[in-house]
Amino acid sequence: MNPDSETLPLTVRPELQVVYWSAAAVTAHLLESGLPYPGPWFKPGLANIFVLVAWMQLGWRAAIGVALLRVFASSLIMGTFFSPTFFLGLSGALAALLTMGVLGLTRLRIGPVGLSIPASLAHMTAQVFVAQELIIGHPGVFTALPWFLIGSWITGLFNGLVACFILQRLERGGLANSQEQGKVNWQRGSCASRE
Amino acid sequence: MTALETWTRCTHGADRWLALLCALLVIGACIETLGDSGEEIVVIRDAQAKETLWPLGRDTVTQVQGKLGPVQVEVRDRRVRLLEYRSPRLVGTMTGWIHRAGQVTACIPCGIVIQIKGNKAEKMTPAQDTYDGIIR
Repeated sequence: MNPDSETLPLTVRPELQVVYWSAAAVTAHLLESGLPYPGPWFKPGLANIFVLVAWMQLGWRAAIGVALLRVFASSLIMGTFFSPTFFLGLSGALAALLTMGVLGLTRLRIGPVGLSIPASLAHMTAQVFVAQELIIGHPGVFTALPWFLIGSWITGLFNGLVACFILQRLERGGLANSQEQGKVNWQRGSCASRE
Repeated sequence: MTALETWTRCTHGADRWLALLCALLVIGACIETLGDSGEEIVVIRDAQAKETLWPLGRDTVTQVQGKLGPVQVEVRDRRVRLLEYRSPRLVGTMTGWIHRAGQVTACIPCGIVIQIKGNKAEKMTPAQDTYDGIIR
């Protein structure tokens, strides 16, 4: 641990951290939605980085809070609340959380990368299912699903690595170990090599 | 920091196994999709001449809007049939299942034509390659 963090521990209440990560997730989502992409299925899902960070640092309850706040707040800001887009986002977020929850139940030491890739695949799969039901209405879309999943695997890896960097920085700053809730999760599924 | 160092620093054994497992699943699904593309395809042409493609090997029941109302298209056990309800003579329904590449079933009053296309398509003579043959 950084010696400075022992003398000057950075303590932020967990509920405030949830708000910070949610704000970061909403900001990432809004920035991302303004960028051009080759198709609606190729967004990197940068907001999920902060869901991962909340999961690793504060636990599953905080991650659910961040994910749902992100979906609701960003849809309200973008004017897509209760539109098909909203349900796409919500279904993806819930599927990703469920996947992370199942992985969390195992006794494996899973870090953000190991959580992020399966969650990303679940996110995409759920979105395609909901898109088929609400928008496309034709099961032919499932033929393209495996190709969408290639993109999901790559973005899942990227998001996991970025989350890992953020967690390493937090750990160096003393924030990751400043909360008891974070300590448990961090030690179970740390991504960083101990230095 | 190299990519390998980044990977090593950010992952444990379980992470690597999960990443590999997910990659294999995705690659397997893609190969499965590619495998389908070499097989027969059902071409469903609706009343607006819009064509929809569907793998013959993937079971489904779907509805297509015809001129006389909805027409049901069923793909099952590598066969396809259409079921119309409001056609005067129900020729398409009575045609029953088709399963070989090159075969066609249609409901002309509804404007729905279904054809199986694929690598194994049998060479048809120009006389056979017409939809009028269905009604004859």
